[in-house]
Amino acid sequence: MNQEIQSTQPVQGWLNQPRFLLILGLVLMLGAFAAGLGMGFGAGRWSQDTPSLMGRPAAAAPAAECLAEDAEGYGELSPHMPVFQEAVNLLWRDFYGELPAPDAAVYAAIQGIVGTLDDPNTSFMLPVDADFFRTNLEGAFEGIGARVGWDETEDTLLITEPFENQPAWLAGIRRDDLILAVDGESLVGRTVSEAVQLIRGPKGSTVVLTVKRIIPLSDAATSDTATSDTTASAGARNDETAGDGQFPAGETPADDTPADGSSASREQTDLTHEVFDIAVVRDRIEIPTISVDTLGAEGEIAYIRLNTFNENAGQLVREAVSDAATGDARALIFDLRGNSGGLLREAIRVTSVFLEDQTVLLERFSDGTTETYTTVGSAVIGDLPVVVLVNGGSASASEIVAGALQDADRATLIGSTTYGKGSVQLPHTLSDGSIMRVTIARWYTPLDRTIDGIGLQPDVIIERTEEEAADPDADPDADPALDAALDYLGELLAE
Amino acid sequence: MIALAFWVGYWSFPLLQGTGTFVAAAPDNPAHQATDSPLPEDTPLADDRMRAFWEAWDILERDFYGSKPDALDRAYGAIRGLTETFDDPYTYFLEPQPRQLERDELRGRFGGVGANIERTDAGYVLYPLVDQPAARAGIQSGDLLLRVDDDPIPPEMESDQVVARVRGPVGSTVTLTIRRTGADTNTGADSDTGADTALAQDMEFAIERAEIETPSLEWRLLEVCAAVTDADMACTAPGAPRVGYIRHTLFSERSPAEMEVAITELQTQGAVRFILDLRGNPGGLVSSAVGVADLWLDGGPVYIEQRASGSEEITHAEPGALAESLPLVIIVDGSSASASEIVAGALQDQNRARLIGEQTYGKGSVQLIHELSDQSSIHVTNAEWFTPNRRRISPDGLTPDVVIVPGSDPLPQAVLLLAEE
Repeated sequence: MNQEIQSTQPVQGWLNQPRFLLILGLVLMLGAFAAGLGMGFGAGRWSQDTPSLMGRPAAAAPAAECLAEDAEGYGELSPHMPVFQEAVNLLWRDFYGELPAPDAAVYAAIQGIVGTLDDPNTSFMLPVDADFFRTNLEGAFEGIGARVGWDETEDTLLITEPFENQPAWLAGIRRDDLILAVDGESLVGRTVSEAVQLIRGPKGSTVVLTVKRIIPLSDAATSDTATSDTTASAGARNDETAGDGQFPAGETPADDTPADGSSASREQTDLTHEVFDIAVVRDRIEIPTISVDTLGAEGEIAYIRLNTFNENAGQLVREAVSDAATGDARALIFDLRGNSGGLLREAIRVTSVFLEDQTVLLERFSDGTTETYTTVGSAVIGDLPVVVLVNGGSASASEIVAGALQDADRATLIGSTTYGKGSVQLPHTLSDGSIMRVTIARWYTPLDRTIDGIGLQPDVIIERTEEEAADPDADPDADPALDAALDYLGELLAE
Repeated sequence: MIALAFWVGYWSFPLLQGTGTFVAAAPDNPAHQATDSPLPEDTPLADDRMRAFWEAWDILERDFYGSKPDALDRAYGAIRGLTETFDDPYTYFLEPQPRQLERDELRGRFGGVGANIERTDAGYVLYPLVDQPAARAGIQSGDLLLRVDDDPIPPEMESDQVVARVRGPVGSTVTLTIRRTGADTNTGADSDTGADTALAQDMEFAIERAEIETPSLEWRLLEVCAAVTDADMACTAPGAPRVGYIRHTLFSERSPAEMEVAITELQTQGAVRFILDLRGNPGGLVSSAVGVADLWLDGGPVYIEQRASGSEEITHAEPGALAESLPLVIIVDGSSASASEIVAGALQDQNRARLIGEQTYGKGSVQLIHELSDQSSIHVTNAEWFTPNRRRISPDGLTPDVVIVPGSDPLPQAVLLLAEE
């Protein structure tokens, strides 16, 4: 009985939604402010405070208005509240043991209500988490530059993506590293937001991360050439220094193969993981919203990767695509993999780079109304063939863009099924600084396809099988989806 | 399992499904409720703290996209969330229907039809008990329950929900619609609903609910003589002293009275020594534990309780008792909890009975069960109790005087132990 109850009560609200976390992998940096799925478009509405642009229905009053209401405004609730009030009174009068802090109890009660709604995207954030959320929204802050999630098995922080040439990457942190402790303080059993707050700090200061890295057995046995490459990182190892070794950004080993540099692994061939400290010098983190490249044998294929739908995304994509279309490019790959979303307005602007006078999405609200969003301005893509790369980390705004292009037959989607975040949250700040994020709407592609909970199916599905993912000999730099996109466009251009 | 085949289906479900419900079953102390202090005038959660709660409630009410559970269910969610913060597995909230069933269990009686139910893929199947209303009305074992009054009973319905619909006030009438499958029906076999149902027949039975009692113990004479030390030796001589065996499965309101009957009946049949089997007994009402212990004790302390307020209270048995001098051995196991541990601990500390079996569960806290205004209830841990010798029960439990190999049958050893008394 009791277990049942517990299982329906997320202790910590939104940050503890594992799926939410894993996929959208909250972030130590600005670029991911969208914290993707979580904040989604509601965040955009909220931070931009431009309800008309965002099409917020009249029924959804700004948070400030509902705060103005007093208890008399809750007539509908009152018939049931004696029960709640009785429970409160009895618990506080009779309980044997330490009473919970009143704040914690109130927050737990709110989370209890949220738990009855059966909607993973409607969530409640404690004031401390809400502060963090707002900090992200406000933009740049100082940190180590890595996307993180929570590893349920180890119950600790997981590096899902260290951004290239950012402090964590430069110090030798790699994807799938587990962070066991920060400056000696264990993270096990804590939350992502707690961990992130420990990791963040002023630019120029040093944070020591205790890293647990899994090493494939074959690598551990054959890494005897690593010594000369890795003197810098070895200096920071637990077993050789106090773990406080200076290891400033920039002195990173040139070789980024995760298993390299383990002197311990040569002594113990059965070692399957190693634990060591890495000191990272914090910096001001600015993740590029967009990165551009040219691919193909003759550089005839333009490659544009969009990492997040932040305020500049639309303009940056427009410029990049315009450059490609007026240059030598004969085809375009638009990479939305791992892009967990951001502002609705920017999703529309990005779509408008590719489409003209067309529907971008339909948005349906709780009051039954539907809002139709159409493209703005003129497209600049011309007639270049386009491949959009997507994967399970493409969510929210990414799915709007991909869905609109797919419905209009303007692009071929290659990759794996997208996340399926097609609902809109409005974050309300409550009077004590906590935030209630409420699902207020869902969206649909122009052809009225449901996104939420389903995701988009690519036209060409490229998925790594489990065997491939588990193969220690596989080339870590292999990118089968990108290869497929290049092959696809190559054949198209050859016709 | 016969011992556990209680008179209505609900009982069998938690047992058969092996849920933790029973382990967590909490004792109630009605005496406490009688002396309840008034509820605090001021809300422990002051209005300004509750402000965020009301704001959150209002926002969800107004803006949420999707189907919402009704307001009462959301209020229940809030209460569950609240109780979670107490970080105590025994402090929890029960909605009205589970509470009704819990109350029925602890009372040991309820208004019902006297049938077990079993959930199958096809739906709930009825097993009427001999000489109870359902059987007398004509319900047969294997009948598939389709409707209770006007409510359809689909297979996916929770057993609590089914049982709650069947039960009701004694004397009221409930109509059960059943489907009977088989060729041997002899009434109106003129169904024209197709081949699949050619052998199936839907029937309605109006049944007057009667008081159904759920015994909390069963007893019998063992097939051994109390006087011999060879447990294998059958006791054949007429009039030879015998061992009475009492299996006690729950401390309900009725338990002390039932125990009194059991002891008296067994004595009448020749029992002079007794075994009280508390294996698997998850506890129940504290008052019932005291009542049962009292039957075996000539006064003396039963348990010591420490309250949240810091006060301490020692509960004593009454001097003089029906079975105060009868030789007794108690069998316990890892599922003997709570009220079982009160009885076992009191008799062990007073050197009244030796314990044999396995280490007990270790639940030394007392809950008050408060019914809220809508018949839901909240269990609140209110006190911790200790044995008369001030041994703490949580979390280690009681160590038997004779520990047996887990899984082995303690009964033969218990008989030998009893012979030493």
